[in-house]
Amino acid sequence: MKKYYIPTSSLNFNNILSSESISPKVFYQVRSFGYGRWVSIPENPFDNSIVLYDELCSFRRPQSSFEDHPLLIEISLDKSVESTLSRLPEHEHIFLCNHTIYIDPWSTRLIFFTDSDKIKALSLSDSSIETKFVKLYEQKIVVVKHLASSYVRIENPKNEIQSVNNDEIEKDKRINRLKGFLYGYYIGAILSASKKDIVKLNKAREIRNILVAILSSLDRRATLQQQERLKDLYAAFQPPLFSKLSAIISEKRMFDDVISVIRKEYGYIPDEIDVNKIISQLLNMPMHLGAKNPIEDINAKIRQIEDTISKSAHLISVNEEQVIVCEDSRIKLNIEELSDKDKKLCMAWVNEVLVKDGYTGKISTFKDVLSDDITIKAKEVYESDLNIKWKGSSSELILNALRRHVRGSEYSYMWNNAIYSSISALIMCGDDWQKLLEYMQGKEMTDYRLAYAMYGIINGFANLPRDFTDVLFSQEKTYIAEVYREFYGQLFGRDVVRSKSELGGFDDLMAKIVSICRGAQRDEVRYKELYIQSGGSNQKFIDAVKNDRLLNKGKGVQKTIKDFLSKNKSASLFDETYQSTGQFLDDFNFLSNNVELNDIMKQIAKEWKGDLEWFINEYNNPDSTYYKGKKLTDNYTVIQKFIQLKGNKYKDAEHFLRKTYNC
Amino acid sequence: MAKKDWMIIESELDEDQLKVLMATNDKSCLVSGCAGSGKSVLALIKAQRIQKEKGNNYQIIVFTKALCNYMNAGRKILGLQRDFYHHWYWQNRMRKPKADYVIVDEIQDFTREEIQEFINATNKNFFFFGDTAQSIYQGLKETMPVKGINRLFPIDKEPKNFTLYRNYRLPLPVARIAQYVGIDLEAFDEKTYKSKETAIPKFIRYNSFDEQINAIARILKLKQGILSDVGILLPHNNDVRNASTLLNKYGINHEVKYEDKEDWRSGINTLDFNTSNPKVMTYHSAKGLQFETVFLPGIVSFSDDANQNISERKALYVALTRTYRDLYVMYSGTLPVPLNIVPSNLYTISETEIVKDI
Repeated sequence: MKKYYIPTSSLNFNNILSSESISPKVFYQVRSFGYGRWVSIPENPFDNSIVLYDELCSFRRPQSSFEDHPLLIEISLDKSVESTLSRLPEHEHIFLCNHTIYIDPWSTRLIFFTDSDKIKALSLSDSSIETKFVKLYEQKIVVVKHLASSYVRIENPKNEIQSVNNDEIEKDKRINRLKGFLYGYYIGAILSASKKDIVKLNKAREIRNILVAILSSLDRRATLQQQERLKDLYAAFQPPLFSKLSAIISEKRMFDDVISVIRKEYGYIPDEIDVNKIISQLLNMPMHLGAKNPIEDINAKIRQIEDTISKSAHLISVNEEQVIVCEDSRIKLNIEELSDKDKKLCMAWVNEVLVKDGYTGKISTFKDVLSDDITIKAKEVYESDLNIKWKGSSSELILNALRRHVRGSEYSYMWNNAIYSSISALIMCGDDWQKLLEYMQGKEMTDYRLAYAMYGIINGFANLPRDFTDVLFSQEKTYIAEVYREFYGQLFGRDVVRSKSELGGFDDLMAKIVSICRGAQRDEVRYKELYIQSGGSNQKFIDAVKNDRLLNKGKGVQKTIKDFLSKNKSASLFDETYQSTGQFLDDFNFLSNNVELNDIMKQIAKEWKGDLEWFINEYNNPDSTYYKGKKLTDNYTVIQKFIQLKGNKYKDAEHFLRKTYNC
Repeated sequence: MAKKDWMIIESELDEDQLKVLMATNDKSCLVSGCAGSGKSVLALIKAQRIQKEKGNNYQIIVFTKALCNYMNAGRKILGLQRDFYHHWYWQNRMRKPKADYVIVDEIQDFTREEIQEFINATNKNFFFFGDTAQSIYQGLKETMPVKGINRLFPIDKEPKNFTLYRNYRLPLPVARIAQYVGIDLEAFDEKTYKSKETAIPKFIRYNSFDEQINAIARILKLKQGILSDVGILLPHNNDVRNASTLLNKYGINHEVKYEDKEDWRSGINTLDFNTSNPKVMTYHSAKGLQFETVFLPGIVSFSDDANQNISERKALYVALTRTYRDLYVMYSGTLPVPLNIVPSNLYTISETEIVKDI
C-alpha cells in the first residue's frame, strides 16, 4: 500500500465529504448527482483526470476574500487501484487517475496546513446538509505544519488524458444509488419502532397540536371538540391504575363511574392528569414570560417517547444478509417477512423503476409519473412473472387508488402490507426523511426498512442529508465499522484496509477467550450470537456476556473472561484515540496519549511529556534560544534532536518513533 | 420544522449564493436578493459561522415578531446560542445593545435612522440582508431602499455588496402567475426560478367564503399527515377572525396570528412553527415566512383608491409568493382584477384530477 497525495482547495471539502470520493472535474459536470462543480488549482489543473503525487509536500492558495485554503488528501491505494494510475510524462512523482477515487476513513487523511484553515473548513461544513462524514473522519482531519518542500506546479498541461472515462461515470451513478439504498435500509431498521410506542407518540403529538391551537385561538378558549379529544388522548398518559381498570371494565360509562368513586373516596388519584386544569393552566400563563408549561410538558413527553424508541432500536446484523448487491448491480431482498410475490414485485420496483435517471431527487416533482410507473411495473410482474390476473387483484386496487390519491382524491388503503405501505408513504412524503418518518408513524407503520431503502435509492447517497446518516453514525462505533465494511464490500467487491487492532473479528476474539478458559469452547455458538446482536466486541457485547445465564453451563461467565473482555474492547478508528498526524512536530496529542509509547516511558512518565511539550514549543518558536535557525524540520532530524535531549535520556523511544514516522 | 430547512444544499447553490456563503467574515456585507433567494437561511448561517469562528458576541434582529418566531425555530436547530430579537423589542426593551457582529434580516423595512442605529450598535462588522421589492410598509414609514444603504458610508468604507438573483423557493408555475400581480418587479425571466416543483396552482371558485373554508378543512383532512406546513393567508384581520371561527366549526386545529388595532392586548401572536397546525394570518403578517402549501381564501376586488390599490396588490403578491409547493386561490363570484388577466392555462380549476385506471 503506497501513499499518494491529492492537493486541492478547501472549497472542495464539503463536496468530498458528501460523496466520500474524489473525481476528475468533468465527472461532476456530467454525472447529474451531488455537486456539479469542482474547484481546480494549479497543482491539480486537469479536467479529465485527478493529479496524485507520491510525496507529502505543502502548497499555498492565493490571498482571497473567500475561504479558499489548501487542502491535501492523503490516500493509501490498493494495488488494484494503483495499477490504473498513469505517470505524467517528464514528472517522476506525479500520476494521473481518470476515474473516481473512493476514500474511506481507514486509508485516507484530510490534511490542512494551519489550525485556522481547519476550523474554517469545519465551520463551513456545519451548514452543509450533504456533508455527512465529518464525524466519521474526525480523527483523520489533521493539521500538519512542518513541511519544507512544495509541490511543483504543472506548467504545461499538454499531457492531460484526452478522453472522458464515460464507463466510470456510469459506474459512479450506479454506486451512488446502491449506496443510498444500503444506507437507507439499515437506517430504516434503526428508526423502526413498536406499535405501542408509535401509538403513544402520535397521541402526544396530537395533544401538542391541540394545546398550541388553543393557546393561539382568537377567543383563547378550547372548543368542546378539543376538550373531548384531549380527554381521550391524555387517557394514554394516565397513571397505571387507569389502564389496569380499563382492562377489567370495558364499558366507558362504568369506567368513569368507578374512577369518580375512587376520586370521591380518597379525595384524589395520585398523578392523575386533569385535562380541565391543564387547559386552564395553559390559558392563564403569563404571556410575557413566554411560559408554555403544559406545552413544555407534552414536548418533554414526546422527547421521552422518541428517546425510548431510539434506545430500543433494532440493529440489523450484517450477517443476516437481508439485502445484497449482486454482481450485476441488482439488489436482492432476503426479507423473511415478505411473501415471494411481494419480494419479486418490490425487487422489480427497486431494480427497474426507482433506479431510472428521471427518478432522482425531489419525489414531489415526479410523484404522479412515478405512481403510474410502479403500477405499470406491478401489472407487468403480475401478468408475466407471477401469472396472476391483474384486474381485480389487491395490487391493482391499491396502486390505482394511490394514483388517484396523488392527484387529490381520498385514499382508503389500510396500511397493512409492507411493500404497498412503504411505496405509498414514499410517494406521498418522500421529499424529506423526517416528514416521511412522521407520516409513517401517523399511519401506525412500524417497519421502515423498505421505505427508507427506496428513499435512499431515489436520492442517491451523495444527496442523503447528514441528519439522516447521523442516525447510523451515532450508533456504537464497532457497529458502524462493521456496517461500513459490509457496504464497502458489497459495493466494491473488496474489503477496506483494516488497522491491526480491527483485524480478526469474532474468530480471533473467540480464540483468545478459549486460550483463557478452554471450557468456553462449548459456548462458542452463544458467544457468536451475542457478538452479532451487539454489533461486535463493544460495551453492549461485554454487558450481554456478563448478564447471560446460558454461558458456562448456566452459571454465568467466569471472572477471568469478564476481565479479559473489558480490557480487549476493540480499539477502532472510531474510538476517541488520537491518530498520528505523520509529523513529529505536530503530534503532541498523539505522542502524549499513545499507549505503546507511554508503556516505554512509564518510568519517567511525567518528565518526558513535559520535555516533549517544551521541545515542540521551542522548535516551533522562531525566537527560541535553543533551536534558533534550525531549518530542518523533517521527522528524522527532529527525532534525533529529541532523542539527544538531556543526554540521550529518551533513547528507548527511538525505535518506536522512527517506526511511527517511517524514517 | 425540519433541520434541512435551515441548512444548505451546497451542491445546488449558484455562484452568487456561494460568494455570500464563502466570503470571509472580516468585512461588513450588504446582501440584496429577491424573494426566495435564501437570504434568511444565509443570515442564520452567517451567525453560525461567527459563533464557531469568533465566539458569541453577535446579535440577529428582524422586523416582525412572526419572522422572529419563525427564525427562532432555525436558531434552535442550528445550535445558535444567542437570542434573536424583533426590532421593537431590541429598540425598546433591550435599549439597542452593542455587539461585535450585528445581523439584520429584512433590512428594507427599516428607516435610515433605524439602520444607522444598527450600524452604531456594531463593534466590528454588520451583515444586512434585504430586498427593496418586498418592502410593503410604503406609506406607513420612510423605509430605505437596500442599495441606498451604501450611501451612509464614505466610498472607502462601503460594505461589501452581494446580490442574489435567483429564486429557489418559488415554483415556476406560481411565479408565472405572481408576475401578473406584483408591482415594480424586475422583468420576468423564467431562468431565474430554480425550484424544481411542478405543481400547477389552483384557482377554485366556491359559492361562499364559508364553502371556501369548508373546502380547506376537507383538503386538510384528506391529506392528513401530508400537509404539515400550511399557511392560510387572508387580506384583512376581520377575514382572519371569520376564517378561524369557521375552521373551529369544521374541527380543524389551527393557530392564529391576529392584530387587534383597537386593543393590542387582544392580539394573538403565539405561532409555533414546530407544530403541524395550519397557520392563519393576514398577507402582511406572512411576510418573510414560507409554507409548503398556501391557501388564499377570500380573494376579493382591490380598492378603487389608487394608493390603497397598489398597497393591496403588493400585499397579494407577498401572499402568492409564500408557497414553495402548492397554491390554492379561492374566490366566490368572479375572479377579480388582476387575477382575471392571468392566462387560464397557468392554473387548474378543480381540487382533483381524474385519471384512468391501469
